[in-house]
Amino acid sequence: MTAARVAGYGRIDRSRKLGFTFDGRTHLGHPGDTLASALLADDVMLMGRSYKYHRPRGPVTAGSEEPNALVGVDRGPGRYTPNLRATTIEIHDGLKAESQNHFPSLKWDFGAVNDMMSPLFAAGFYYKTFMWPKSFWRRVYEPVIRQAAGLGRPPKAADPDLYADRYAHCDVLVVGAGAAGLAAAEAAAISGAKVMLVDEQAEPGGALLAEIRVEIDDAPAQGWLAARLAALNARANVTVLARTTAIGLYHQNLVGLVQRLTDHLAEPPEGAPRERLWRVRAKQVVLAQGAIERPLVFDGNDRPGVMLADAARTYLTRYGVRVGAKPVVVTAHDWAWGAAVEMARAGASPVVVDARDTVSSALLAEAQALGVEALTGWTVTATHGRLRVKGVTANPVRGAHVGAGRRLPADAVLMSGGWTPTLHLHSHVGSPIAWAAEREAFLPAQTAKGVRVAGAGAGAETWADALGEGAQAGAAAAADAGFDAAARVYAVSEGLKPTGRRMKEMASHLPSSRQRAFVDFQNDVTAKDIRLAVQEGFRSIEHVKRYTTSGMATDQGKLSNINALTIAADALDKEPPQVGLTTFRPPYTPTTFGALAGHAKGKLFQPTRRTPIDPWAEANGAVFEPVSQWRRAWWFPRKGESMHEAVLRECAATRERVGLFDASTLGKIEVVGPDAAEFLERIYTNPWRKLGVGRCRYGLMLGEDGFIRDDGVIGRVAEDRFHVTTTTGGAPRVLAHMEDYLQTEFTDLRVWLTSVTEQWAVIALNGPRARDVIAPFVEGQDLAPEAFPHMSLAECRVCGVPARLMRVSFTGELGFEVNVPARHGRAVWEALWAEAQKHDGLAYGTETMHVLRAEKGYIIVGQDTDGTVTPDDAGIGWAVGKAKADFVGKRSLARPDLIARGRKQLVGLAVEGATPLEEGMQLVDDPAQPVPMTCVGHVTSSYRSAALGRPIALALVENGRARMGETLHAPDPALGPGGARSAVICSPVFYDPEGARLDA
Amino acid sequence: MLDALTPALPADDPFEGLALSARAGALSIAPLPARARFVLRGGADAAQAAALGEAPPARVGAAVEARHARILKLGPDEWRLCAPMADGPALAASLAGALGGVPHSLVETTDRDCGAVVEGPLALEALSCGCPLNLAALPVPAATRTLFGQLDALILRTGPERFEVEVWRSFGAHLRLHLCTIARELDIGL
Repeated sequence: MTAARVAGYGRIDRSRKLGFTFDGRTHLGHPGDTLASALLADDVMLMGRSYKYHRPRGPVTAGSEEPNALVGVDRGPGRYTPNLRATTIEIHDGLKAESQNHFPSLKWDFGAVNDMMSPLFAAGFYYKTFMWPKSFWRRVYEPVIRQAAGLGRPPKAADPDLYADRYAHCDVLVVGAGAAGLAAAEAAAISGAKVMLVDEQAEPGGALLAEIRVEIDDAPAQGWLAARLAALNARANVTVLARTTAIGLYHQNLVGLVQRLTDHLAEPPEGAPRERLWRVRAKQVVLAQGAIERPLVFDGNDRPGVMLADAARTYLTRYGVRVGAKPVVVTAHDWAWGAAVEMARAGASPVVVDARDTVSSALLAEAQALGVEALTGWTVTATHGRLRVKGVTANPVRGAHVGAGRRLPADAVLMSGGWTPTLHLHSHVGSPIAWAAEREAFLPAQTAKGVRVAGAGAGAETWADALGEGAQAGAAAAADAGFDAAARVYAVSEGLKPTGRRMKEMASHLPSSRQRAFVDFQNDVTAKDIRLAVQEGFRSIEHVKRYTTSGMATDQGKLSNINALTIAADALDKEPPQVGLTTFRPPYTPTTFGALAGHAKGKLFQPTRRTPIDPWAEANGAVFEPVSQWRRAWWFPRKGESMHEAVLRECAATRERVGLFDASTLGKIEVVGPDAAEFLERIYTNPWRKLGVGRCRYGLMLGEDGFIRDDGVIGRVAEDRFHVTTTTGGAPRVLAHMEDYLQTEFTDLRVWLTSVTEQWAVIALNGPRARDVIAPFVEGQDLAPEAFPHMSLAECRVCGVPARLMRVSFTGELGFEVNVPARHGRAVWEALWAEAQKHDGLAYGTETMHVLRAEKGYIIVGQDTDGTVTPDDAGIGWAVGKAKADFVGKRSLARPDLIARGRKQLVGLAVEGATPLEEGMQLVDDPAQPVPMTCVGHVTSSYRSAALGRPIALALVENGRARMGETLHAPDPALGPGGARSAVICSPVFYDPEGARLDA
Repeated sequence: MLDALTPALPADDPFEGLALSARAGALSIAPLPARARFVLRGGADAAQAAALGEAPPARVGAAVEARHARILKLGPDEWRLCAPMADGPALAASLAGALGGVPHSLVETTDRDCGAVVEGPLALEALSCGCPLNLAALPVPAATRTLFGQLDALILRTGPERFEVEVWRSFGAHLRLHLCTIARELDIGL
């Protein structure tokens, strides 16, 4: 046993034990443990296999920046989550975790053969290696590479969990509840500002949670922390959220937070959401994200047991776990000496190898007092061991000369290359950073409006600086949010200000090309790869990143970026700022899709609009189809019927007797005002001034480009009031188009628009018996043909409720559209349907509606038009008022290309054979011509026609109207090579060309 | 103008029967009472006329409880009037009379809109689960056109802890389900 729990250390609750499994083996931990700390306490150092080389790996860190210890957690069926960081998983009774990326086991992994072939796998290896034969890339190389590389397996089942989302508003949002964040929150809170303090860890406190030697305001750090948190939590104006990661900072201080609600619970409440996405709009933001310790780059620096010095200190002081009895501390920074000293106090025998020739005498004295051997001006050139580090080779360095190695036994290697300020959120909004030469770090150069960076993220190196800067930032933020705030000063007992030296690879007698010195642990990128990229001509760090994949893993290079930059800059003989830093993008840490979806899953995925008659359709077995956001009854199958059979039956019944159709989804706009007719005159192609009250007219709307945008029947309810209908999908677009013109071009008109789509339920009755069905229910309107002819409108009562009754037809049959207040729509429908039963009528759906209108050659905008069709193209030039001075689109209709010969025109197709054509089929004159063929048109609508007993189609064909009777061909690969269908061009009005049935 | 009163025929409400409660009544959600609604568009003179002698709301978002109707100002030239369902026909008639000669558009939307009342100490928290606006800053009474989840919604604050959420009728079922989800979440209290 070399890693073990030691007495007298840690914040864990040793009075309680929690049982969990890792790779099927049971372990015990304590409340307060992470999976990593609990496994380390059981001397489990090996936790994963690496991405590319399948090298054995253990935890490098104790936080969310962890690149190595990625595990899968199984919470039950459908609830397997891969690639979670063992350093952030809170253990609970029954937690099931497993290692990943290995076969057959974590200890014996065949994939490790990749490591032996590593010379083949240098940066960009597959671009160069797997070039030939070309066809092998997709079939062989890529699948094999994808199989060999990669991390956990993705879940296959649908995610059964629930997720929540929420908006919040506050005066000051503080990201990070470490020393700086706490001080900022406290300063803002005292001013009375509404404060949110969020932290990704299970408990707030940040690095203070691991600090046991410092006193703040004369209290031990742990006690001070507890007292400050209690005080903040007691305030009504403060919200403290733990387990809450600020994933992104967006413009105007919108901050995305993901709060983990149940993953840490052994038994989550039934129905509780797993995570919650918060979208917080903060007047002021204080970013106190802290800093991340940097690894050192040396041969074998990825062996399990090699970890960051501060991680080892944290495992000891926060979790009571001493990660080794004989640790070797490899460093170029004072901070690691503190870890060495703490390990010595906990009974370990550390040796410090410091790359610097001189270190402060105080550090040396403290180390010496505890019997810690210190080797200054030394390097580490190798580590030893397979699944766990067993020793290191340390060598003295004199100038450029690396002396003979000395083998040091080691059961842990603790490294520190200094600290990298965390500036992710700062960078998300594009705020610049600048290289601070004296600190050898990038620091914020300029913050966005209402954003401050404080603490270690802004370069603070001591607790006093972090607390002081935090308080100042919090007070300034509160003041900018309109509160009277002041920063207080905290008294802190601490020693020297730590200093250090930024390192490229550690000195070695071996060239870089013969070392396995890792820069990016998660993507298995070595120093050699970085140097190779530069050698191959990559100059920008962005290109080096993409070539080597350094920094491209899920940790976004939190540990590796500065080391990669330092090595690339060294290879290029430039300063770091000249090489640049890659861009940080949200999210800060990997985020579940579930959290991003929030409530919008399952039935709440997106709104499904239902008509008032929808419940009847559902009860009567309708098959539905989505039409924009609506769901509409598509057809009403009887037992055993196919769609084809049902539609033919519905078509025939409607033509022969009567059919009811739910047309409630039609867009409806009430256009009212003294200038209503003039407004329509300008918006639609048709003339409106002379349309009588109580009359309807087909309206055609163009865009400024002269192409058809929408159509619908418009009825004049009163001199100053029109009932405008639009297509179902076009309703919002048409209203916006009208409002746009009204507010920008036609400001002289006194007319207003109100959407009444949902005010009215619309029941269309079509067929020779339509009048007989509605007649018993209509009061206040004579329905006789001469009193109420085609294209009439009346305000009357139907079933006793106020109605707008229109005599219109989209089938070519005698037709009525009954508009009744939506709340009565279902009751009126049921009354009319019952009556229709007496006439052997039925309800029909959208498919039958489509067929019936196609038989009459009535277009559907968006199906027979595609945004490039003019009224003349569609054969409805008659709807354009020739005498009108102007309307939207009029000028474009005179454009040379819109009046040129050879435009595609809407025609009918008499299809040969018994099956309909496919909509979208291309049409050619000669199916035997070589590919690519010259296409002369395409099919826009195609159906089986019950009335005609054969398939029909509408098509847009070049010069179509001049080609009546000619045969076209539709190449159809389904018929074999060279196969094609034939059809004869005909009038698009297939049925009742005289229109006699309308006037029945 | 059509009269809104229709006694005999059954009427549907997407929120019919909705009765949600969370954490011992700290949140309750119920259907809006049936009411007649009108959209008035026009100039300030139209609003003045429609207020029947009282002062119409002047600021966008403001609401006034007049004797004959609640009047909301929703845009520079847009007002919303509503009254108990039974008063609808009388309101329509008196508005038609008062607005004679003033250029305007008065359109009935009684059936277009539907919604729920969200009430209680947790009402603001419940609404924050769907609405991006800071509703705590909304005066009493006042209204705002906003989003709720994926829906266009009108939210009216009638008391410190009482809100009315209105959407178009076809979105009613979606809003209802969303409110159920939210109430359950708040009841669990995580």
